[in-house]
Amino acid sequence: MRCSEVIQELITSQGGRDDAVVAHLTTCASCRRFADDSELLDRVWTQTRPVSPSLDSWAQVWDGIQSRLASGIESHHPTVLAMPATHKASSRFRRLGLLALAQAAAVLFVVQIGWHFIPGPGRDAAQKTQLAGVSQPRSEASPIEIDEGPIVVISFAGDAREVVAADTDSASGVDDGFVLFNEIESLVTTPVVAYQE
Amino acid sequence: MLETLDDARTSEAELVQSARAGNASAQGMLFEKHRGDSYRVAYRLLGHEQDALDVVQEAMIKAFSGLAEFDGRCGFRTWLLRIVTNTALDWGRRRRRNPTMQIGTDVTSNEPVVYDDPSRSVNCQELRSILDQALARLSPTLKSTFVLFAELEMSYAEIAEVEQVPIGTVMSRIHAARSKLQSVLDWNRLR
Ligand SMILES: [Zn+2]
Repeated sequence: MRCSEVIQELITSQGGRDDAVVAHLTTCASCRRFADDSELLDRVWTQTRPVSPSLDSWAQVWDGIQSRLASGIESHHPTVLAMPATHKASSRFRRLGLLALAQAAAVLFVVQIGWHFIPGPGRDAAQKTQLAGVSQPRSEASPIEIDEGPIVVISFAGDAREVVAADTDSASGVDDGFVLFNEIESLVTTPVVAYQE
Repeated sequence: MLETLDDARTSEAELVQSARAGNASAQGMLFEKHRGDSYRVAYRLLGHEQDALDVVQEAMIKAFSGLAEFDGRCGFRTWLLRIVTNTALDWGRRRRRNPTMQIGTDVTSNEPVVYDDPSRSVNCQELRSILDQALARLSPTLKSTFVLFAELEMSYAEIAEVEQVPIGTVMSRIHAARSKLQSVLDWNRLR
C-alpha cells in the first residue's frame, strides 16, 4: 500500500482499520505519525462535544420562534433559502481571493528582491525542508524557510511573517489548488503573498 | 426496516404538511426532533452556546416561514441543516465584522478532561479553545463539511445533499479539512 492510499484510508474511514493499513503503519513512521495525530484529533473532537442546552433555554428559543412567526417577522436577516449562502460567500471569497492574488503579484517582486538579499549561509539554512501548513511565526529580521518547487502562501500579520500553506501534499491525492484556495479564503483579512522559489 | 423508514418519512411528511399550514404543534414537534442536531452544528461552527441557540432560532423561523419553498425532494432534516449551516456561517461573518454583537455567556465546562495518562489532563475549556483556533483556520466550506461529517457522523451522500455538491467534492473537502486541522492544531498543548 502506498502512503497516499494509507492517508486516504485514515481520513475517510469511519470505523476500524484494515490489515493492509495496520501493516503499513508498523513500517512507516510518517504515516504512523499521521495516524497518531488523527486519533488525537478524534479524541479532542469527542471530548469537546457540545453539552445540550437546558430545557429552559429550549423553551426560550421556542417562545422566540412562536412570537416571531406570529408577528410575521420572518427573520432579522433574510437569506435566500433555495440558494445556499455558501455559494454567495464563495463568490465573494473568490473575488477577495483574486484580490489577494493580485496583491500577491504586486508584492511578489519586492519579496523576491528581499529573498535574494538574505546572506548565503542563512539562506541555505532557510531552504531546509519546512512542513507544509505548520505555522512558524517569524520576526521581521529572520528569513522565511521555504522549499524549492511548491507554491507557498506567506501571510503578513503586523511584523510577523509566516508560511501558512504550501502545495506539497500532492501525494495524498487532494487537489492542491483547492487547498491553497481555501487557505487564501480563510486569510482574507491578512495580506498574503503566493510565492514559488 | 424499510417499512419503518417509510413510516418515519411519511409521518415527517405529514408533520411538514401540517407545519406548512401553520399548525403550531406540528412545528413544535419538528423543532423538538431536529433542534439537537441543529444546535450541535451551529455550536461547532460558532464555538459559542448563545450564538448557537440564536442561530437555531433564526434557522427554524426561516424554515417554518419558508416551507412553501420546500419541495420535499430531500428530507426536512437535510433542508433544515442546509439552512442552519448557512445561517451559522452568515452569523459568523457578521460577528467577525462586528465583534461586539457576541452576547450571553459561554457555559463551557471547566471540568478537566483526563486522557488515558492522568498526567496529561487538559482543561476542557482549553481543549475547546485549541480546537476552535484550529477550526477558525478552515474556510467556511471546509469547516461546515467537516462539522457535518465529524459531529453528526453524516455519510458523504447525506452531506452532498445538504451542501448541494457532488460526493467527490465532499470527500475532497473532508480530506483537506482533516489535513489542515492536523497541521494547525497546537499539538504541544495537547500532548
Ligand atoms: Zn507511509
